[in-house]
Amino acid sequence: MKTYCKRLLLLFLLSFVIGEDVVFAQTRSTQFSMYGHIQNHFDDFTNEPKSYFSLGEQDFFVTSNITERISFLGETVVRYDANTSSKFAPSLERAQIKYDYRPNHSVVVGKMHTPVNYWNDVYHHGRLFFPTIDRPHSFSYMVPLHTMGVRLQGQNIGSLKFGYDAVVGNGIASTDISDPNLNKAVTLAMRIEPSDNLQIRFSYFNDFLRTNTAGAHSGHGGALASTYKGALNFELWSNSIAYFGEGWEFLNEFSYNRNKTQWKGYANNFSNFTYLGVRVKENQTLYYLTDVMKVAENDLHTVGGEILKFALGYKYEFSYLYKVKIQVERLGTITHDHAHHDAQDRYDIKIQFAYGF
Amino acid sequence: MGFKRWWLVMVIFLGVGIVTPILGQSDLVFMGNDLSMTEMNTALMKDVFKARYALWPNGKSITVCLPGSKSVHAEKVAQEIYGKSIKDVQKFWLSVVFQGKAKSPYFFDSEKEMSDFIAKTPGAIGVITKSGGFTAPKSQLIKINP
Repeated sequence: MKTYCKRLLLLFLLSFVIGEDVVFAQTRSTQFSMYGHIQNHFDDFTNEPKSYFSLGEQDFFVTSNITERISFLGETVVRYDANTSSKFAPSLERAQIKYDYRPNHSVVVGKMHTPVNYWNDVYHHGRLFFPTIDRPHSFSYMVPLHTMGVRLQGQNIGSLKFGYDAVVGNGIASTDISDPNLNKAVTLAMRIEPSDNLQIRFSYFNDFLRTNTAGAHSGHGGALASTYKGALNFELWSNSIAYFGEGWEFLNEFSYNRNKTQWKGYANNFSNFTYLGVRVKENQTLYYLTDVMKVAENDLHTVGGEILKFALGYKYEFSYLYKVKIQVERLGTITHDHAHHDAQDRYDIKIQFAYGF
Repeated sequence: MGFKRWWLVMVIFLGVGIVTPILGQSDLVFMGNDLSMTEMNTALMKDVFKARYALWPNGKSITVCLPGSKSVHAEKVAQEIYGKSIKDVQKFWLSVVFQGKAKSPYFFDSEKEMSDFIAKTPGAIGVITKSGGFTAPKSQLIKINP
């Protein structure tokens, strides 16, 4: 009798689980996508030429509607990592849960791309979406790429389609599981969309670092090289202007970074990235870019120096899921003083095959 | 021809001239299920199809249904709602989903499939054209006001 009852109970529980799954199946949908790129380089072809193929980031992207109002977004990238035996390692880039509490307002919790500018919020790892081959140089020195925390966001408010983001989370020195600082990093961002193709953004980011260390996902590779490990107040003001019309495309990313230390006072750093593209055919674009960055001599957060890049490029879209970009670029410095930076004046050619499906 | 007849002909001629473009704009047919409204204005409709809202006023999640790229409706819908080519609309949605701003839309190559999906998905809204010849169920029709 006991066994019969147990079986009956098991059957009842099983039917409940199956039944619930059927109910959920009507609203829940999970989608997997993948993005990636492969590149061919012909570096420094006027001095010491090098030619090689390069496997870029392979981005596994998943979204799921858990309930009517709650959704999940995850992004795991497998990319080159010199510290592993296979030279490739996975990296959790985004894992966020979103709750829509109003038609155009939501709250996001988890690891996200810090919405400081258009590029970091819209493209980040998606080379398929990048208008050029590489992202701006400032992403390796002064743009805080990720935040692990909570984000309030809204969009489409009023006739100018005002949007906002307010983020509080672990700062530049943090890892994905802890933050050595008690205070949290704060991002305040706003944007307007005067027309369908035009977006203007402003943002402010602040983080006080008790010790000047850069977490694995801050993106501040330059900070890892800095020998200064004392306290530092990091502030970043950003402005983006993005216009992507049928004939013309324009993107300007300006960043002003001010770092304060007890020893050297305020260090003023800035960067500006400009992209201008003209669609010669629906699937073909010719473009030009300028990327300039200057890190002050008295800055202790990063080891940046000066960078000045010009490039001409051509994009061919085989479909909306596969495109090829060819870029000829000159990389140098603003004042031709190499004393504090390892970037040499050089000319490179890059070919990028970017895909998504 | 008397003055009255001439006047009548002019009125009909002008009337046809004015009415034809207005009718031409309403070639799109909108279907929905449990949207908390049976009609909406063009601006709201475009905002919904451009992923600027996640929920309807009744709290139902918005599910966008679009004609597949091979559908006879695709080009007209892409032009009239998005002002873009079919490929650019596909790029738009790929990017919006990648940003985490909206959930993926559903694409249908047949009007019947779209209508059936909408019927069983509260919060779903879809669009086709009249020229396809499909008669949408009256209970699903959403009127779009200028």
